[in-house]
Amino acid sequence: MVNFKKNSLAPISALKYLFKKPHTVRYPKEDLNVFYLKGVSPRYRGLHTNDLSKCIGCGSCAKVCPANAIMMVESKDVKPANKFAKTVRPVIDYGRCCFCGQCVDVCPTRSLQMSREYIHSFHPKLSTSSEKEPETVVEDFIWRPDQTHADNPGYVRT
Amino acid sequence: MELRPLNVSNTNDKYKTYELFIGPNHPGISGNFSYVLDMEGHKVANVTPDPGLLHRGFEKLMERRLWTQNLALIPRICVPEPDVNEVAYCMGVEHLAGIEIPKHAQYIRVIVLEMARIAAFLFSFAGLGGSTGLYTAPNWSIGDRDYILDLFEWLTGGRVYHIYQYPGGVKKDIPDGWLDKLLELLDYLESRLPEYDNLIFRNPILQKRTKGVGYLPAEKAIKNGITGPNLRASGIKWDIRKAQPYLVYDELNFDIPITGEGDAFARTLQRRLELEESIKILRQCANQIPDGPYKVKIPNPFQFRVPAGSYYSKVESSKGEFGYYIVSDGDVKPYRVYVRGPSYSVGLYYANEIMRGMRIEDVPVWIHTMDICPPDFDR
Ligand code: SF4
Ligand code: SF4
Repeated sequence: MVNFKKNSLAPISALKYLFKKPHTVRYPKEDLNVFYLKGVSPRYRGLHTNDLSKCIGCGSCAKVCPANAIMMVESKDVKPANKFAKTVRPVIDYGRCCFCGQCVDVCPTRSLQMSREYIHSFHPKLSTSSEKEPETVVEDFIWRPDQTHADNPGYVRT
Repeated sequence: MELRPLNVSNTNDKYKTYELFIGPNHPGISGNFSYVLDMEGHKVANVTPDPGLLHRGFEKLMERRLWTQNLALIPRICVPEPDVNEVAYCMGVEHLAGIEIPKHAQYIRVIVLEMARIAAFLFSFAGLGGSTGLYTAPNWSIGDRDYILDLFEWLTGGRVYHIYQYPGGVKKDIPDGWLDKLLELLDYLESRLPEYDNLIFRNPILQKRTKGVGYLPAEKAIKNGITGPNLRASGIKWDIRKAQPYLVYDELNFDIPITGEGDAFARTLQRRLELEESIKILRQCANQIPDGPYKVKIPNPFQFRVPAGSYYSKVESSKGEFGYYIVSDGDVKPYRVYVRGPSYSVGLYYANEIMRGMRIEDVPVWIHTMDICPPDFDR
């Protein structure tokens, strides 16, 4: 058993940590170096990517989302993959999404995936008038995921 | 204005009794929760716990969501240690649905639970350091906890809310090289323990501040339903992992240390000793984890019906017994889920009794050594 006797000198030994490297990573200059990839983990649940040509618009992702963050929106720019497929595509409200990954788990075509991209904070330009601000916030937080982050895949369905 | 002469004490009645509000964003409290203290000078005369700010109506929300959808919700019931919620809930659902999960998945669950326990213990050392003015302790323990979170992130994809358990097993298998990293981390944590002892547990100031504070006699602990390290620090050897083993705890070799003095210092020391046991458990798991599938397939979430019935599943968390009472009426959604958080009996009931007569500076020490986690009773 370890000795837990009082010892006034014992806490002083902590002083040696003044000369050691800190735990923290100075983020924009350095990045995490713990995984085999630089940055966040290879399975990170970040912003979504969706292969719009593979997606069949089935709406399972919208139905399973516990936060009700997904809306199926008619998209003019996509072609249905086969004759049963629809042309609606998921649009995600990042103000509601909790990054649980359930939409990825349920997607039958595996087109919906999550990337290692995690920065989704933004601030409107100072010149934005206060009446316009809600609109810009909506534009930045509700969008249709596509292949923008597809080169950096994170949490994918196995 | 006439100044009071220095040798006359202040007899101003205005400050004899007063009300002191501690919380919800007070550094001395462990979450968005508050106590209203009626003070008499330095002593607490009466306490009124004031819940509500954290109330999110989880139990009702769960009745409106699919069995698997709830897994995104329940980790939020205990913020410092979310995995116990997922595991207890999944174990309950699996019992009702008659699903037997593979050995490999059971080992993964034990690994996740024990890592979460270590992380929660480190968090509680930070709380103790904060409430006694030993600010090096939070810096160290939160820093070391982050190495555990790194491994969690690698395994599950999330740092704090892992959403990793699933009825039938876990969501993904252990990645290559992860277990080696885990063993490395355990070596590191073990090498840090003597430093923690020197800084925190052998520190004469901390011992003076915590010894004899908030004495919890064993019979009171049982009467109030206090479990976990707080009960064991009062000298009662009760741990669900040993008493009613779940998962693969009966295949693992570990002890339950007992301190027994029942005061604030004994409770912290209890956590420190249990941390060592958790490291031991993790080492065994990493070395003897069998190969095999990490899950059994369950129907898709929209068709996943759990047969009617009710079951109480419980898990030993870092704070005590964490239980889920699950009632199903055979539908795709639960009929009722009741959560038994370990801090409920301590933070809401026993607080009324113990805090009376306590000195004001001992209140945060008591809160943090009891490891009260408000999200699990104000849910
Ligand atoms: S992303 Fe997947 S689940 Fe969602 S509509 Fe497309 S195919 Fe269906
Ligand atoms: S990650 Fe979870 S919360 Fe976010 S859109 Fe997918 S299912 Fe909804």
